Amino acid sequence: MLGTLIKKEITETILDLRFVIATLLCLVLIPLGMYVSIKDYEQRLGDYNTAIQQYEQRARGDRYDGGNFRAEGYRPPSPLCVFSSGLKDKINMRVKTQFNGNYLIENSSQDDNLQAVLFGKIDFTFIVSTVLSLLALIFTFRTVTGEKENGTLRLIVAGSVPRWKVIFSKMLGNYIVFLVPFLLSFLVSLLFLNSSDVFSLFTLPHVAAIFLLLIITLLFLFCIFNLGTLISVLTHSSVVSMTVALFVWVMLALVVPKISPMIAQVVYPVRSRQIVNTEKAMVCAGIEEEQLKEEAALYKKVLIETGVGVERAFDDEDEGTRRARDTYNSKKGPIFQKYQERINEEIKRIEDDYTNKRNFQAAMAANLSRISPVCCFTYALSEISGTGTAEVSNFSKRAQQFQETVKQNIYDHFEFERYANEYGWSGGYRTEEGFDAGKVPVPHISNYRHIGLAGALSVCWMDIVLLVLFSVLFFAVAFVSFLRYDVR
Amino acid sequence: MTWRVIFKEILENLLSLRFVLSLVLVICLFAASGFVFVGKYTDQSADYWRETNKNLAALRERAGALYEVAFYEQTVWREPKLLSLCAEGFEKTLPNYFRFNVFTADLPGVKGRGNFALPHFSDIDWVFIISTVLSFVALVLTYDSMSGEKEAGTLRLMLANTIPRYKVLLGKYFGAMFTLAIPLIVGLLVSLIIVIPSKDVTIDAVAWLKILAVAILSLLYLSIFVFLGIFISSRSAHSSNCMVLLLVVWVVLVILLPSGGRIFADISSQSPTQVDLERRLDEVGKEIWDNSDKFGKNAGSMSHDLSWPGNNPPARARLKNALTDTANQVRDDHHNRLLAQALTGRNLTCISPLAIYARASEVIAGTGINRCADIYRQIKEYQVVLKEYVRSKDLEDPESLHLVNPDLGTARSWKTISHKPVDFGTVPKFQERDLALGEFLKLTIWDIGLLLLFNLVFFAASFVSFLRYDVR
Repeated sequence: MLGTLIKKEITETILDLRFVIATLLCLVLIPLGMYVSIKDYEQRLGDYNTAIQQYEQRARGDRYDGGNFRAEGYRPPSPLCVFSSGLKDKINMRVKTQFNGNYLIENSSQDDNLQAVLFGKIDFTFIVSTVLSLLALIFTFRTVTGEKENGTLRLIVAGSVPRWKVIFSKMLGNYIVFLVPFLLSFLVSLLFLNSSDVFSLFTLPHVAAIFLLLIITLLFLFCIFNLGTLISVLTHSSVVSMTVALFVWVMLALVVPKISPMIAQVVYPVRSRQIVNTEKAMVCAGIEEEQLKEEAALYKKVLIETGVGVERAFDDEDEGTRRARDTYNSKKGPIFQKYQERINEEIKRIEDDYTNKRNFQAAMAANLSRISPVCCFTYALSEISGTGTAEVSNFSKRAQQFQETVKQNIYDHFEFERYANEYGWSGGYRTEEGFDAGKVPVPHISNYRHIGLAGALSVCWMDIVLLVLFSVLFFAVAFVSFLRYDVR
Repeated sequence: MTWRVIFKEILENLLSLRFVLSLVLVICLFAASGFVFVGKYTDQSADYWRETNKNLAALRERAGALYEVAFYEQTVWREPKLLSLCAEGFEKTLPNYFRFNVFTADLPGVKGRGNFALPHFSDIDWVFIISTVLSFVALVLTYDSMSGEKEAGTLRLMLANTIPRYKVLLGKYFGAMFTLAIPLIVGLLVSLIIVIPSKDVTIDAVAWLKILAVAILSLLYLSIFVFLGIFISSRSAHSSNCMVLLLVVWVVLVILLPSGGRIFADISSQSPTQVDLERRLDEVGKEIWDNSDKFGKNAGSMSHDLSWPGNNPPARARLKNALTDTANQVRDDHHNRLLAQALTGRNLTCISPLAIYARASEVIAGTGINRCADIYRQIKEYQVVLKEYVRSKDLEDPESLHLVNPDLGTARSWKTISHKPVDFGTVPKFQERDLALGEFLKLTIWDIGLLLLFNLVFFAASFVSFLRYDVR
């Protein structure tokens, strides 16, 4: 009986205009979106390779002269970003190391994304979360109310057909029909992906990730189908059912994702980056002032002890002033070290505080938006595609390791000196004796690994669980409601 | 008779569930938008004034020596616009600061924006609510305007009387428009009521006019979807089919086509990248350095000691000016190509009424990419004015070599630019100007015309379609 009911639902849906529209949209949009995403990835990869080449040329040209060289590390684009743009345009691509240990992470392609800014992205995630979710609701909004209005529902129930079979067949039948065009277009997209020169589809990590992406997508669509069926069961007229379904879609797909960051910003405001930078500048200026005072006091003391005299502090160099300056320069090292460490600690404290607050605000916004299955789906896919917050943390960790490695191999072999000469205070880097910077290979972030499946799952497991819970909840409520549904 | 039809339509809509849901949703969204805007605008204004005053204070300090005024890297921030409440214009992600001195200007940059890790969706402004939510409501109100009445049997009863079909059509149109105007106007008022009491917000007469212009534009935009709904409704006998078709059309016009601008832009031309720019700058710089002798003997070498016989200040100045001018040209070209590609993509998306409406609203509100491009242009003009000021003041100093060029080292040690102090009050300061009325009209007239054209097309289509509609 169940099989017959499912077949009936399938036949009915296939012969409907909705199926034709769904098939057309899937077959056009999903492969098109994939094609555009692949082109975008190819360009980003090309940019990455060019940036590395230019960096190597610059690095060899600098010859680590006088400590002017600054090692840079680059992050390649994540191959799976073709499925979800996520935070791709905002995730930083480059780390610039510093002598003092305070590395900078920045986006090396800062202003070449006007298009991404203006137009958003038609990627796989967008198409599924926005277009296909709406189609799924269109498929299901009159699954019960339509039959009631036609009078066929009471005829079915008047036979010895258990209600649970009726509702089950409706859910499954519509879902199976919808999956056909979707899976077909997904396969076509994978063919496009396989034909690309820069993407190797048949590697274990990629296959596993794509398989997981597909499962999550199917789960999301199942969730929306259950939601549509629930709405149909809770109403008694197709018009009302459709109206409610559409408004629910507007809320879940358009409103909730936008309003949750706004609520998070109001509930937990975070200082702007300008204020943080101003605070850092003020703190550093204060500490540097103290440092200068202490260094000046030391210089004065040395001038008096060597008999040169304070009034000749910045006179032209002669035997006496040279001796005084050499004595001063040999003694001022610990002072410089002490204040540099203080500056680094303060900057790190301010930056960590800002980063923690910013991350908390982002987490709050994400948690608020998780009442929408659309958001759960988007987050899950972006994490698995390597364009989510987990990848941001992954790159930060690698950047820190890179900084430490470069500092150990190169920067620690230079010493910064602030010294006094006839022009006043000057500064520069002096190479350690016996160290030949030209012999050190150009440092890179070698063998960069994007966040793996395990790492992504550890971040997005909650989203997957929520999708399952939403599906179960919608199904359960629809099931129970249909058992009490007035079919007359 | 038309008025009776209109009243009947309005009453029917007002008593329907869909109107109630729409009204509640739209009012909540407008209220949320207004509420969030107030906090955001206050913070942005505070940031803007702090940075602007810091820039001016630093410029004032450098007025102690003319050459320092020339070489000071001013940082100008984009002023937060009050009317970004109406049309945010991608303010969060478009460049918001410009750094330049008399000789060079960096490409516009993005700094200090909120929290990049926040979920990846933009803010809700009036344009979003109207273009997405209210257009959707327009379709929900009109999808069964003809087919629904046909299914109920009332359409044939109405037309059995001596009521011309065009009056029925107009009655349905105006009924739907008046119904839509209610949540629109109530929503706008709610948003303004929340925003106006804020101490940082002052809406002057020009701003009020612009708000009125946005409201009228919004009605023009919504009218397209009302006609579209009536047209599709008069093409089918079943409301459910109409709804499905309309939803697909809505998804294409409102969601896919505007987002598809990126595809169009990519097809039209290759996107220039930062990496390309850096490579070109390296290439042109190297070429000029390799041929530095053509600017004069020893142009490529210098000593801070002016008595060194190898120094050739005029040649050095020519070389440095050539380097900077060429680099500026490369940057400007890069910027223009980026802009051209983005605008081309945007122009191609103007088959979507949403894209036209959004663009026109941004121009009226003074936000969006056109504003960014305009500020960059104004900064270039300001650079010229400031450079002329430096030149004229430099000529007054007999100790200067009068070789205004972008080499800071020679400016310090050779005095190629005067070291005398200047009166800060006479130093030109950058002040952003809003678009002139002529420019503003020039940018919006086409968009308004296109919206009117869409209205005419869909009106004609629904008119012809309904005249031939089988009402039995």
